[in-house]
Amino acid sequence: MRLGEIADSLLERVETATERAGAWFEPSLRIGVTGLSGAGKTVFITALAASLLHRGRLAGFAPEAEGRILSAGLGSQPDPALPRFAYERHLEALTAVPPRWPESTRSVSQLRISLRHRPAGILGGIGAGGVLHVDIVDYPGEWLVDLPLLEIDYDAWAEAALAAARSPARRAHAAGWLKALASADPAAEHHEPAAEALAAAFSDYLARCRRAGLAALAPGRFLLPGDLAGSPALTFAPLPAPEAPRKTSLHAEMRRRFEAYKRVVVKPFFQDHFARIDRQVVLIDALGALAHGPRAFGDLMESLEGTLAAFRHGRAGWIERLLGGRRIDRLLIAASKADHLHHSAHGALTRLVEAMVSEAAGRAAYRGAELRGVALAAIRATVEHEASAGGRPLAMVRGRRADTGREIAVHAGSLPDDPAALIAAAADPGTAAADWPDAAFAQIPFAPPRWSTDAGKGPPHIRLDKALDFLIGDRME
Amino acid sequence: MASDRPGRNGRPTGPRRPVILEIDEAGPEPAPGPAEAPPVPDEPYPDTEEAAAGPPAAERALRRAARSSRTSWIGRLFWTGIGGLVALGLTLWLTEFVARLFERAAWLGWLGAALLAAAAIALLAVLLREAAALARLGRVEGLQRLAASALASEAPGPGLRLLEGLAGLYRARPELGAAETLARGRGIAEGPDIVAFAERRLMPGLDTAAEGAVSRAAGRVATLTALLPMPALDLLLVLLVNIRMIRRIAEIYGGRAGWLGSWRLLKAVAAHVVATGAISATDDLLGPLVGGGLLGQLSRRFGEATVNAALTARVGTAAIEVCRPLPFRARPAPKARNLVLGALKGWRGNGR
Repeated sequence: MRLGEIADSLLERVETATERAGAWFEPSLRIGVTGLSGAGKTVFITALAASLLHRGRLAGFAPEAEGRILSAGLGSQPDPALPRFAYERHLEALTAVPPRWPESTRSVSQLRISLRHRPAGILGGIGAGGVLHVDIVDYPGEWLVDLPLLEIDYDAWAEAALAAARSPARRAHAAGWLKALASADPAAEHHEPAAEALAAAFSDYLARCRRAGLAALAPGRFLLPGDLAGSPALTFAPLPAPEAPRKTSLHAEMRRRFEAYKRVVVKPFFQDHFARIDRQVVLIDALGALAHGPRAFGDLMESLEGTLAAFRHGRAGWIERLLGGRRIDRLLIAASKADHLHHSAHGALTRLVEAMVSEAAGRAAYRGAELRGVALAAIRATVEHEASAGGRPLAMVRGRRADTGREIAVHAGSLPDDPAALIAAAADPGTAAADWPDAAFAQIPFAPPRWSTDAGKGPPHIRLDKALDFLIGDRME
Repeated sequence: MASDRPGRNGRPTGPRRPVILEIDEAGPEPAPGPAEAPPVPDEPYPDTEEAAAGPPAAERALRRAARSSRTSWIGRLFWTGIGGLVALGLTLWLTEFVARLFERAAWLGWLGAALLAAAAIALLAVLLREAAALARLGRVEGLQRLAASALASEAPGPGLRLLEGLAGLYRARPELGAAETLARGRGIAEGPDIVAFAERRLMPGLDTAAEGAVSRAAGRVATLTALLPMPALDLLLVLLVNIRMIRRIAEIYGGRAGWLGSWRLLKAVAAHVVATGAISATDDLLGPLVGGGLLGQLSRRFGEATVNAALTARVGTAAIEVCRPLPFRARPAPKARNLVLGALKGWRGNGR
């Protein structure tokens, strides 16, 4: 009996010791999934986890194709203060009958996928192999557009926000807020109800813009406050600078609150989740933005460029690595929801998203990061369908409509081979035309496919395996 | 089928506008859902990396070897004539010799005839084996061509034929799992993906073994050069080690070269090495090892040994590219520099 107890405690100690030592030997890889609201982050993370746990559809993922993955599981996550990503709940929704898309994300959560694998090459036969922990964070995409705020001060932001609100693209949405603004006096003494009314009108304007498909909607917490609803840090609005600044004026108070917002909301969000990632996926729902017209498209481009500028791409030097610093050395530019288009359009879609973030991509490549563009669907909801329209063959996709549940075939519009014309037409979202000059696009929401993990297969997807190979394949050599 | 076309301004619906069709679900057969549908093929998209690389080195080497083996018809006539005469003379001399043995004594004659028959049977067996080896090499070459056409095609046809060919080539080696690869590869839609899949599944173990063979040969060459005092002898031995290495690599990848096959391989590999200018570029391999030539100056023999080892590694990587049924696409090609550094790991300490 005694002996057994001693052995137990000894084993326990060995276990904790190996656990602690394990952190040194079991590397972790943090994948930053970057995408604005509606880009498909939650579905991407769920599909990625499900595909790694049920690896029947990963022929393009080298470690799996070479048979080097011994096992995969959901590990206990490294950050005890964060809620766990509700993988099971999302998977349940996706595999239910009838299947549903997961709910949109309202808070930050984290998931760790642990892969036990055999190394490739000469060492392949020796030893039990290694473990790679893949850490992914999910968060509301609305909050991502806050990152550029870190770089600017209140007056610059207010000026830009007012100019945007008065531009032809947003004038109609901003009418209510501009009226409230006209009746406010920035130089007047701070009065809380006035500030609240202005903030409410401002968030109403942002919500209207979002309904029109626009993406540049900072500050993001105005749309999805999380646990900060009603706090002073969320009760501000852009005001024009008064001629005689006073310390107690409404304008000065708003400026203080903007700075507080940056300090208590944006900075911690960025530092906790984005400052230390190794690999980045930028999910872009390009077709959705195209369907909303040049204004929404240009808005999305601008937001993405501003957001990506906040990240540290490139290769970390050895001193940096020694100090635990990390840099993003691989950047995947992914056109999500590629299943809305026939595969013959996927090349054009890839070129389009690459052109959308060309500035940030060029910067990242210059600093030594590896880049790749891909058109993917984390979960594929359609099959290809050839039909004829007006006597001509037409490449379509067929799926179940999410709202009516009816089977439809869709040709979402023809993407040009050269994306330059689209990019140019949307270059300035404020003054861009309301419609595309020579094309039109539609995005019909499809219901998720019927699928279950019973046969050892993950969800049907388009090129998710190749994306995975690019993101983590090299770390399992 | 109703159609609903959100075209604006009453303009005719061209292919540039979105089109939505409602599908009558009471169709003849239920269409497969996304979970059962085959994966979508990749649209050919210019991959800058691949476009810049040009044709793989092995292909260039093969083409070169094919060209050099095509001698002029006069030369071929001459060699055929001479070869035929020598063979005729040899047969005549042997039969006359046996006949004379019979004249001497019957039992001597029978012994001679039996010995001749044994030699003839052995010769036949050798010829058969050589022919089989050549056929096997030809098969590997055929697979290489098939892989090239599969890489260029969107359809799965050539890729599946390639998988079948690989399954046939490796039938005698079930541990590679070529049959299972064929079975699983049928689900992949597109040529290049099939080639990548086959390469990832079948080649890793073979690559490791081949790289090990190159590394060992390089190490052996270095030792021989450093220890043998006679320059002429070490040249011969280096050549021998290299031929053995090439044969070994061919066997690993399934070529199983006979002597004729080895000769052909050696020619192809030599052509490859010359064509890539590897001989003159050997110095850069040795930079980190010899440390700016200092060690080489300290010991001339050590310098020669490392140069020979580096050349052997070059020949080895060329042999791998020539013998491998699939080009290096999904997996990294071996680097002569790494192989020679691995072979000479122990040498750095000794040299100091």
